Formats: sequence, C-alpha cells, structure tokens
Amino acid sequence: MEHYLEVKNLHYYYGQIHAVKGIDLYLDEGEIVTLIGSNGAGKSTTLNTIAGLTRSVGVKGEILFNNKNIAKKSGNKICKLGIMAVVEGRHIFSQLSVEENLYMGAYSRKDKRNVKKDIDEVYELFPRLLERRNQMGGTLSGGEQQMLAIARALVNKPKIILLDEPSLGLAPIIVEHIFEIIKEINTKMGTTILLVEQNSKIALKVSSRGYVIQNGEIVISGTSEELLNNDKGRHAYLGIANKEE
Amino acid sequence: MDFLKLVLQLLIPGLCLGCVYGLNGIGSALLYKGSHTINNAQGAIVGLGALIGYSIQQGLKIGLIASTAIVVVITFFIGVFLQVFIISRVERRSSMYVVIATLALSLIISSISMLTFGSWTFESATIIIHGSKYLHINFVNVDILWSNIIAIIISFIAMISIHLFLNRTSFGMAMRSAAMDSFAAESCGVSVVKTRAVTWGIMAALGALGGCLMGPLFGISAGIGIAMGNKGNTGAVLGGYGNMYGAIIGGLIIGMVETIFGYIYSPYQSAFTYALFLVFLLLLPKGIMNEKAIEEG
Repeated sequence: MEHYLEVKNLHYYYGQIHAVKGIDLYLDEGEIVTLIGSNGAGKSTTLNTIAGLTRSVGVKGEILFNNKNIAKKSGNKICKLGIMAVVEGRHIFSQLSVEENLYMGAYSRKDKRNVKKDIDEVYELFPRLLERRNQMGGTLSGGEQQMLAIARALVNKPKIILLDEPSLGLAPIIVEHIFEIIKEINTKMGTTILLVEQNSKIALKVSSRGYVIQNGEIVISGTSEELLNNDKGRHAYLGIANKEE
Repeated sequence: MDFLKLVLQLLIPGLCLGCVYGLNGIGSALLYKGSHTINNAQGAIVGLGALIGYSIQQGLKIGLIASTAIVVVITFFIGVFLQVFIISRVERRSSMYVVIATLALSLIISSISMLTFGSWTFESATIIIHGSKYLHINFVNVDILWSNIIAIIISFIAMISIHLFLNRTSFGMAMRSAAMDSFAAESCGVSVVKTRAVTWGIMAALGALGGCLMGPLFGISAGIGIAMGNKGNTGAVLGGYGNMYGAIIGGLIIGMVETIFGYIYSPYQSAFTYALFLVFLLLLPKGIMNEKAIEEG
C-alpha cells in the first residue's frame, strides 16, 4: 500500500558517527504519528533529515513523499513541497516582530495576497500572539515562542508538519494547551503531523500511532493504545510506571 | 569666519571618507552577523573595483558616475562568485578557515590587479559642474570638490537603498532572517546558500562603490582599497560588530577623527585613529549600538 510519506531504511552519519541506523516509518494523510525516544536516540536527527536540514552527504536511504524520493533535497525545497519542520529549541527570529516572524513562514508561498487572511486565522488559534504581534520574537516567553514557531509553520499551509519536542522546557499546563492546539490543527485543517517527543504519555494521547526509537533504531511500533498498554514498552522506553507500582 | 572655513574644509572630506568607510563597514557587519567571520579580501576587491572603473572610464570614455554604476554590478558578481566557488566550500569546516582563505584571496587579487594594471597611481575621472571641479562658497570664501559632495550624496543613497532592501523587500527580510538563524530560515523556505552569496555580492559592490568614489581624491591604484577595507571593518567594530547602522556611524566617526588628526599632525594620522579606537574598545567593548553579536559568538 502507498503511504503519504514513507521513510525506507534511512541512515544518517555525523562523520564517523552512525546516528540513525536504518529507520522505516510511514505517515498516512491526516494522521498524527509520534516518534518517541530518549535524549540522543536519533529522533531529532530523523526529523531534521526528513526536513532536509541535515547535511545531505550523511544521508542514506529513501524518503518518499507522494511516491517521489525527497531524500537529500535541501531544506528550502522540502518546505516548498509542503513539509514544514518546527525544529527543536523553537528557533524563532529573535530580532523580528511576531508578525514579521509569521510573514517569514509564508516566504515560499506564491499566493502572497492570501497571506494576511491566513495570518489572521492563525491569530484566532493563538490569541496570545495577536496581543504581542509587534513585540520582538526574542522577548516572548518559552511557551509563546513555541506557539509562534508552530504558528509560523501553519502560515505556510503545510501538508505535513514535523514537530520536534513541542513540550521542551515548558510548564505542564502550557504543554497541555499546546497539545490541544496540535490536535485542533489536525482535525480542523487536516494537517498530517509527525510528532517527536520525550513526553510520551501526552504525545500518544493525541496521536493514532507511534514508534519507539532507541540508539538510532525503531524498537517497537504500533497504535498509540498498544504502546500505552505494552508493559515492556511502557517501562523500558516510555518511562511510564506500570499500573501495579 | 576663518573658523567656519576650517570646519567646512575638515567636515566635508571627513564626511566623505567616513561614508566610504561606512559603505565598507556595512558589508563587514552583514557578513559578521550572518556567518560570524571576517572578509580580509575586502580591500583587495575594492582596489580591483576601482581599477576596473578606471579602465571603463578610459575604454568607454564615460564619466565617474556611469563607470561607477557598471563597477557596482561587476563587483557584485565577483562577490557572489567568490562566495559560491570558494568561501561556501571553506566555510563548512569553520568560520576561522574563511579568515585565512580571504587573506590568501586578498594577496591573490592584489597581485593580479598589480600585474594587470601595474603598480602606479592613475588619475581618475572627476566631477565637473559648471566647468569647475570646485563648488565655491562665497561667504566663507572656500572651495569644495564637487566629487566630495557627490560621493557623500551617492553614499547616503546607497545606504538608504540597502536599508530599504533589507527591511522592505521579501528577499531582504530573508537575508536578515538567515543572518539571525540560518537553520530556521532554511526551514521556512529561504535558500541560505542564496542569501549568503548575495551578502558577499553586496559587500563587494558597496566596497567598490566607495573605492570608485574616492578615485578623484586619492587617485586609483591597486592598493587604494586596503585602508578602506580595514577601516571599514574597524568602523563596524566601533559601531557594534554585526550591526549595519553601527557600522555606518562607526565609519563616519573614523573618517572624521582621521581627518582631524590629519590636520593636527598628519604623520601620526592613522596611529592616533587606531589608538583612539583601542581606547574606545576597552571602555565600550560592545560598540556604540551595544550589539551582543561578539559575546554570543
């Protein structure tokens, strides 16, 4: 069966270091899929490689989007295809205003006329950003910066969003709010989402399927329910205590 | 009245020099902000640009402004060429490699200029308005070179254009974004390869513009750019390294100070200027615009 986005036997090398060792995963249209793993497991490298943000010499394997191999394409070309990465650590433009940041999200769009309308729509989703539209990006709080990073990606009207650790460094209540919005983006706009998370519990709650990555390899995969109920997986990889404990 | 005359005689050439340093400093600031590196070849490119300008003046029999416009276009492409074929490849390893590579480029370009045009100083075309090289200001009885006045005007036009380009156009915003965070810019669809190449093009073109405008004052030689490149860079540090507006202000200050020291005791003109620069750095390491670029590394 054909999938919307399919990663086949993907490897990534940082020079001598073999960081991703033959990963297979797929996304179907309209899904939220989670890639779970601890620090250094290779999840960010996988996401950045799909987004074309790693050095192409280190990439081996295939990444098929609509049946076309997009591996080794540069990041700006992948963005133009409709795959938008929200990279780890937010990476917003600190010396641009919130609104200018959002306009940068639309940089590769051809229909510049509709951008303003879409930015207004994004403000509806994140009213906080509307309040701070003229503030410099660097002056926002961590949670607001995360919202801005997601909002900036949305302005590009992407087909797929690759979200790297949206919960990183945020207070639990803000994390919950952000995951509600992620779910809303998926249901209302129909955007396909690949989530990369350490916070497996909340990530699996919003996603339909998941993969667990360890030392650069996929060790378990399945529906979110299966993963949440898999005792071995729960304990070893997800960091969730067993029910009896 | 004598005092006013003196002020005018110092102010105009000082401002003119300062503008040229400012033009060189803008490129230096943009490059530092975007790639955290230094272009040691800037002076050599400026010298080459000025010499190309001279050959165009001789060959096509056209004036200073028209030949300068052609030089700006040519040097833009020289800058892009250098970045795409040399700098981008060296840069992958470390920004420090660029420092050394551009030092090598500087010597190569200077040598090529010297071999092609010889080591003497040529007389540049100058600006003549109403049949005179000078603007005579009656009430203080002072003559000011038209080419100085025109150089100041053109420099300011160039600076305002760059400001508008970077703040009002889509590609200019992309360049600023890429300088702030190249990773994020690439993920937003900006080709960082392109913005870096254009940064070099702008740097070379602005420098050469300054070099050509200085031709009527100093004459044109392969070495004309070395001081401009260095002082442009110095002005950029003075203004707060990585900040374009700081670079302009820094360049203007260096130009003025140098002219005043030149009037007081010319053999120590540069030494005094740089001594003052060092004192300033010790007191205000972040520069006039308080740019954090250096600390952030």
